[in-house]
Amino acid sequence: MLEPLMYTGGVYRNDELIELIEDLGGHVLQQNVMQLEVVLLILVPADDIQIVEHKAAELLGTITRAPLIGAEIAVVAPSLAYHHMPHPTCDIAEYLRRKGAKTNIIGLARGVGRRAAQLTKSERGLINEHDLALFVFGDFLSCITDVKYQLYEDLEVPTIITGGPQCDAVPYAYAYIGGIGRRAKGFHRESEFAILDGVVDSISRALDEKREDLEKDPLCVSPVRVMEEITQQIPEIEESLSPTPITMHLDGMRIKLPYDDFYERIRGVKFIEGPTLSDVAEIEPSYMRGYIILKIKTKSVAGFTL
Amino acid sequence: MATSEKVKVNSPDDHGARLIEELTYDILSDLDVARSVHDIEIYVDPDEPVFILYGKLTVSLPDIRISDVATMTHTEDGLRLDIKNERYTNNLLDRIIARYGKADVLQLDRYTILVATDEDIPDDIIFEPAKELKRKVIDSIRRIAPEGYRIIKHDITDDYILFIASEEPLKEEWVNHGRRLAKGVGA
Repeated sequence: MLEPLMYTGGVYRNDELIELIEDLGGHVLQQNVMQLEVVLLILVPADDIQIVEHKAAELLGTITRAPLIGAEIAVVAPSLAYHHMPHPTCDIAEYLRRKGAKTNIIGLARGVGRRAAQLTKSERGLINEHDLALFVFGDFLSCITDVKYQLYEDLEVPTIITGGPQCDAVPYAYAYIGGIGRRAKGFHRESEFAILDGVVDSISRALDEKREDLEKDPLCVSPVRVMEEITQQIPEIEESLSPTPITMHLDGMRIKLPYDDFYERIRGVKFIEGPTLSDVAEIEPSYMRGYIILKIKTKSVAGFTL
Repeated sequence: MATSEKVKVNSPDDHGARLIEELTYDILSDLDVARSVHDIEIYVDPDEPVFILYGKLTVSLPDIRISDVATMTHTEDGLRLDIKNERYTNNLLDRIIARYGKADVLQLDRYTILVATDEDIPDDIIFEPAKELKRKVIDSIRRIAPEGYRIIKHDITDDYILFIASEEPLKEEWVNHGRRLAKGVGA
């Protein structure tokens, strides 16, 4: 069992920590160096957390639990106008990032109002590529319960809704979190951070359920292993300017290389056991900038595990 | 209904009304118009759907003329303007550049402008605080109103603003509701 953690510390001797994690059988998912500071998103075997914490303390860094690591979350606002931005949409997305998630803010083309609110085909496809979608709605209960569900009822990913009014549940959604709504100011008070923690808890629960579902019919190869093979065999991935050239999903990943140019090479990535990547995963073009979406096959579909 | 000293919000959804009241406060203070609009009454019903806002505007500052900002002196080099209120220098420069062209206007330093002319400059209005206030008030109200309500009718005078918005074509009863608010009769 790998535990998702976030390390924040200095650049000096940070390679020692990375080596330790790799020696323990853990993985470094993301490394952000900002001048003299470094943030690592890591997966560490649960039994060895103390060893990593001890090393982090020696390097004067801190280790925090980041439950959303390894998930890409769509934060969807009805539009990108000042009615929704920067508060609360960006605040929520930023808070989720601090808990380890990779978030993408999506502003809908026709998400506002009641009569015209709808999702386009490409928006639906793009949101479905994520592990989970979080919709940021407004202040009126009747809008949220009676109308806005049309935006997310057809989605295949779990959906969490935020809004202003308090209510137990809304149709078709995994969870509803009230107390946010439309805001013209940021989240500053302790009580407001408690609401954001509630959002993180709901997302963690939804992702845990998704992980449990995956365990019933496990993936034929671990996404982390696929990521490492791609990084080693396709060096161009290092030249991608994106902060996360390979973005992990629970059941696959988004590879930020052009689909048309790299499709054949991605298919041909070889595993030491014999199969190629096309045997263990479905490779599709992404709705996001023509990148590559990779969905790893389950054991029952592939017929073997690596 | 959510009521406070400055903002009164009516809506069939009480909780929504309270949230809109809070939002109104935040937006008005964010955009520096909190002291320029008062006695605001809002009626919002998402089921209709309609958003009506009525607010009284405070008396704004008088128009600013060139003579309020600078003194003119004729010199051998041309007309010299000595700026006494630097806040409106940009407006002043815009106006005289529009009139004489960029080649004939020279700003020597922060407080001195030289214009290549022998005539007096007419004492034009260079800044209208009332107009600026209305612009800012309309901007803030568009941020308060629900985003999908794009069919808008508004009425703005020196004393008040009435703003009616909806997603559907505006009904006569909504306009009348707004007019009743404007007359101070209430809904």
